[in-house]
Amino acid sequence: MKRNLLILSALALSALALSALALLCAIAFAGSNPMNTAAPTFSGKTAQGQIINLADYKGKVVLLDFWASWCGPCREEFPFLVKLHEKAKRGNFSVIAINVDTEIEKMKEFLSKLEVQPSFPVISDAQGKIPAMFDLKGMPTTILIDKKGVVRYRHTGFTEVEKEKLVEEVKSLLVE
Amino acid sequence: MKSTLPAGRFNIPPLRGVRGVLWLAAIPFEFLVSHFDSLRAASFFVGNNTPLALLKGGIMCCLFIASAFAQDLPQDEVQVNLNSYFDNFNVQIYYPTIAVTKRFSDSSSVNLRYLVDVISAASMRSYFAVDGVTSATTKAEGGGDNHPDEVRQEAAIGFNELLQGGLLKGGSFSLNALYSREHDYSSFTLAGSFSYLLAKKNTTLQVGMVRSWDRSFPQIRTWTRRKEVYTPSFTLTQALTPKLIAQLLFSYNRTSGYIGDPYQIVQVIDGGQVRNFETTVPDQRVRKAVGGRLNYKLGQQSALNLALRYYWDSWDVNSFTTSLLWQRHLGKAATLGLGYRNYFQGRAYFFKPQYAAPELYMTVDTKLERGYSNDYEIKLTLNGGCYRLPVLSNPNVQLNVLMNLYHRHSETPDWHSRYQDLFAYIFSFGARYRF
Amino acid sequence: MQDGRLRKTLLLLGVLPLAASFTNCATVQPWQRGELADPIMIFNENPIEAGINEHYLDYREGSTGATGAQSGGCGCG
Repeated sequence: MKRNLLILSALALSALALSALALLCAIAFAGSNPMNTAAPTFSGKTAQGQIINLADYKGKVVLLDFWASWCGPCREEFPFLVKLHEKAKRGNFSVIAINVDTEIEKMKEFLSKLEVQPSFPVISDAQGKIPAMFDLKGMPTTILIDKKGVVRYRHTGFTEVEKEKLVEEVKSLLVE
Repeated sequence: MKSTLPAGRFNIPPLRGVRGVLWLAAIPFEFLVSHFDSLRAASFFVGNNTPLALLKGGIMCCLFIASAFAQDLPQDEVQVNLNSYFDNFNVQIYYPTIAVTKRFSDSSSVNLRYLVDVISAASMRSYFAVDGVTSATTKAEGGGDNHPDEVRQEAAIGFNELLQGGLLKGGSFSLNALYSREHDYSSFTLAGSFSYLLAKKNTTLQVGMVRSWDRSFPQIRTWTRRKEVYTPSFTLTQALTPKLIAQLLFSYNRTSGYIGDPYQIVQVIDGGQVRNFETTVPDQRVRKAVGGRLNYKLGQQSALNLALRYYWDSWDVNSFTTSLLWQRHLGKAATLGLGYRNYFQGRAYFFKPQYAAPELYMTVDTKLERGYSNDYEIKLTLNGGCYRLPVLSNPNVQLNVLMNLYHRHSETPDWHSRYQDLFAYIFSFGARYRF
Repeated sequence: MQDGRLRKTLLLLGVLPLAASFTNCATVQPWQRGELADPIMIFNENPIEAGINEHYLDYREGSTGATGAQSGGCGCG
């Protein structure tokens, strides 16, 4: 009986400690949210070797999409972004997709299976340097940057609701 | 969908033996798959599935991508499993299961499951019939050792919901109800759990509660007795590094009511005379278990899973379980798993190899005796889209073959078979189809 | 169970993950989860299969719980 109590208390303690730790981490990770501040400038390379600079997109509404082939909602979002880009690219709008797969082959494999190929740049960032600048909370993260280069909207995850919101937000940023 | 050959199921002539059986088992599933395909022309996995070679090992294969984190809903899926169990105590069990999971909104999904246990056993019932040790009447149905003599059916419905707003945003809960019935036993279970993600989804806390109400009405007795179980549990999952994930599990279980096995008989040799008694055990048992698991990714293709568990209860049974599972992707076409599990346990305080006189609590149940077990597992997962085979040419399909060799040793021979060692062979063949 | 073994168990179960999490506190960023998303890295990736194993073990052994798998319904506990 005494032994059981000992075990129980030890376990309860470690569970508590872990939970407390998790909470601390949650607070520590709350971090700065760069909403309504200028987007950090970055450049990246596509699979074809093209260099993309965010700075070159000033004057355009930019949708940044952080995705990976291993992430289910990302795979669902991608074809939607292809469509959105096709519809809105004649306005001052562009999608920039940033792939964070550690193996570029996996990204290529995913893209090769798409019915419609994206006409927007897809940056491969295997080291995850760009997502670190934007302090992502989850995957996918979709960020909308206005014509002045200011981060205006952020979405984590992808659902039907997010889809509708994104369309509305793009529209409103384009008429600004 | 271009195809140089007619539908996949005609590619291979019927085979004899085990392969033949598997092939035959595949036909109804293939039908199911083609049926779903016609309903869902736009398949989620976009690639075509033209069979090029038996094993393409190439781009058409799809690895099933699981939801790594609890806030993802389970995928839409149909899963069929044909399971069987054979042991040297002459018990055979066949238990097919079918399960369907379907999302019905961004944040909700429902799942249904149905299971049948067909137990064929030279078990307690034949023992009564042959030895006539009690005033037991033989069972009304079934009977012979080589015929299925007991059928259990189980149906379950579950509901998953992601919380997308409010204070608990990012959490999810699930509710499950399960009903199981056999000719002498019924059970109703309600289970609920709540998961919450913290620290950029590196931490998942889950609290769960399982509550069940059972009724036992053995045909050799005239009574009906009840049993109630409640099991709160707590699980913490922590991603430690991009290649290492750990889990801490704790469960508490309180069972009260009739816990014994009505078919087991205790023989007391009292002054040269053998007397038979029903087993009697305390009407409450409090059971606690704590477990830890680690899963480590070795390189790109393999992972090693280590699990430890310590269990103790109010009947003084305690046990320690260690298990290891090594899994490796064989290209994209298949995944191999090799597992080993070791278990040893202590004896319940009232268990005796032999009772010299009637006691308050008496049992012959091997589960309450000191002993150990070893379990060896081999499993193979075949990913659809990589093979020019029936069913497997479809990239939405996954086939699972699971085999276990199980050995249990107990210090006292089993009360019925008189063996100290149980050897069992478990075989499971499963198919998952995502739609 | 001997006390030595018990202590070792506790150490493994409680202290190791704890120590590990102190040194690695939430360093896994959302974009670094590629390896963790691999099906072979998921605990009980196939819950039904896990339930099948649990089913026969519950019937043969005197312990229950803390495996992450769920089975039930039969009068075999």
